[in-house]
Amino acid sequence: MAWRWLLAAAVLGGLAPWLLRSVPVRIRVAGSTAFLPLVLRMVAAYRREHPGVEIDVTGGGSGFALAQLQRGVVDVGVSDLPRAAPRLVTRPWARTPVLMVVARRLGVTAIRRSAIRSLRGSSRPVWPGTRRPVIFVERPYGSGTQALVERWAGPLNPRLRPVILGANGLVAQVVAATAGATGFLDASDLRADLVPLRLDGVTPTLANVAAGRYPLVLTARILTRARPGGEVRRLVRALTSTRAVAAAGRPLGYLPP
Amino acid sequence: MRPWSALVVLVTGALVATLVHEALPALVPRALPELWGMAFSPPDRFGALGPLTGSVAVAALALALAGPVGVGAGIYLGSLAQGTWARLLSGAIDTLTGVPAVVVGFLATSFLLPVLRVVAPAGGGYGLLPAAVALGVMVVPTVEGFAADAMRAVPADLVAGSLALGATLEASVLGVGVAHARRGLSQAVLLGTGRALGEGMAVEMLVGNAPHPPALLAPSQTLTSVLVQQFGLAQPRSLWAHALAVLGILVLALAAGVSALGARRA
Repeated sequence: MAWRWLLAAAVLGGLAPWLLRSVPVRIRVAGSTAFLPLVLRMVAAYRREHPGVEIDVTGGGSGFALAQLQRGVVDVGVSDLPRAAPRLVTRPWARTPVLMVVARRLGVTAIRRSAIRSLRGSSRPVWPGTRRPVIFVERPYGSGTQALVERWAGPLNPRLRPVILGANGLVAQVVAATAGATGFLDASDLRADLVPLRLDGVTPTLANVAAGRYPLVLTARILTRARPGGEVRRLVRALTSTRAVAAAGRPLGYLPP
Repeated sequence: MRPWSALVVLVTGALVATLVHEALPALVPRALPELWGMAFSPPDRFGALGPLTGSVAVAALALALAGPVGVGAGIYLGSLAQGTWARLLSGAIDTLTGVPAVVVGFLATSFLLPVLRVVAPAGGGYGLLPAAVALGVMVVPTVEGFAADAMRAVPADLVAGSLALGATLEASVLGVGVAHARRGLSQAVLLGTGRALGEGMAVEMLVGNAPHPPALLAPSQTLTSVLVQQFGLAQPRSLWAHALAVLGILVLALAAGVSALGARRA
């Protein structure tokens, strides 16, 4: 019996160098779901120029990227969290407006920061001018969007029960289906049945973001463990090119830093 | 065969050891009080009691919905059904087995939540009830499969004897067959419970995930919904990661306890 195991181990051991040689370079990228469309667009362009490089892209969120980078599971992370990342090298990358959205049939189109803070702080929030209760659709702790929203709009009253969802697509779906619900999304997840609210009278456009007028702007950074070498360094350099971010990002709703 | 069974024991042992090792820093006396809260809400609250109650309640509710359907279908398919209808029902249940959890969650989000929103607008329809309904749908094939096997194991002589005494086929199956297979049928329900306790994705999509005590129609938490949503987010070696490992141990303990109960009944 034992000789079979030894034979199998010897065959595998002999084949290992050949197997490893035939594996292409594989880079793993993960991070903020708000910036995922931009990552996918830029990685697709990079793949076309470097056909021998395999790049796996997943979302997961900024917290996921930080945790997985520290575990060594991913090579490149995208984070829009303001907190520092110990032992990680960070590079500024892109900006995007965060939209506060409601269902189109709710009829609300604008809101002031003071009103949002008051709604989030109330134990029985109701949309002004209606008797409809506000349902807050939030993101989990560790999401960059959630951190930005809490800094700007204040924390939720602890007695409220928000719906907490891990994916932008689900947030969009739930808010669209529920008159009274509100959530925060990036521009690429906006649907026709959702209305992005004007905040303090400012419409969420790239022009207003560039001019510094729109208040809710998410800034993403590219992170790596140490100064990377080889293919990872080339990919990071391509991703952080301001010109490339501007060209790929504008149609999707992103700006260079 | 022995090396393979040893491998199974080794992998299970390694899984438990890894979870316990990861959870240990949260089980020291200084950190332990954190786990007694009702809300698991990082970065500062890591209560396991709320998610634990949520998990038990969702599984019990799912079994209350799926148990009778699964056992009924199992009895029917295991001893009564014949011909085209039997093949159709069996095919439908087999198809249900193959539907991924995320698809069940998506369908429930699209069709069930809008209905529940009418009943409970403030919670958006989220809570233990929609999660239990989705879990019930997913658990039916498990319960049905084991229940049908239990019925097929009933000696044909028993039912034939009952028929010979003048009872109808239905009365014989329900009176004699079910009585003989009751241990197997209760084992089917227990194994279904184990499946319900361990499911995460669909529950995460429907339970609402709010760090509050569990409620039928208001966003709540379960052990698996917290694990699905937060396992990848927690910083390594943080109290958050250690507390999540404790939740993992609780899921494992619940599922293993229910399976052991099922095995004892077999």
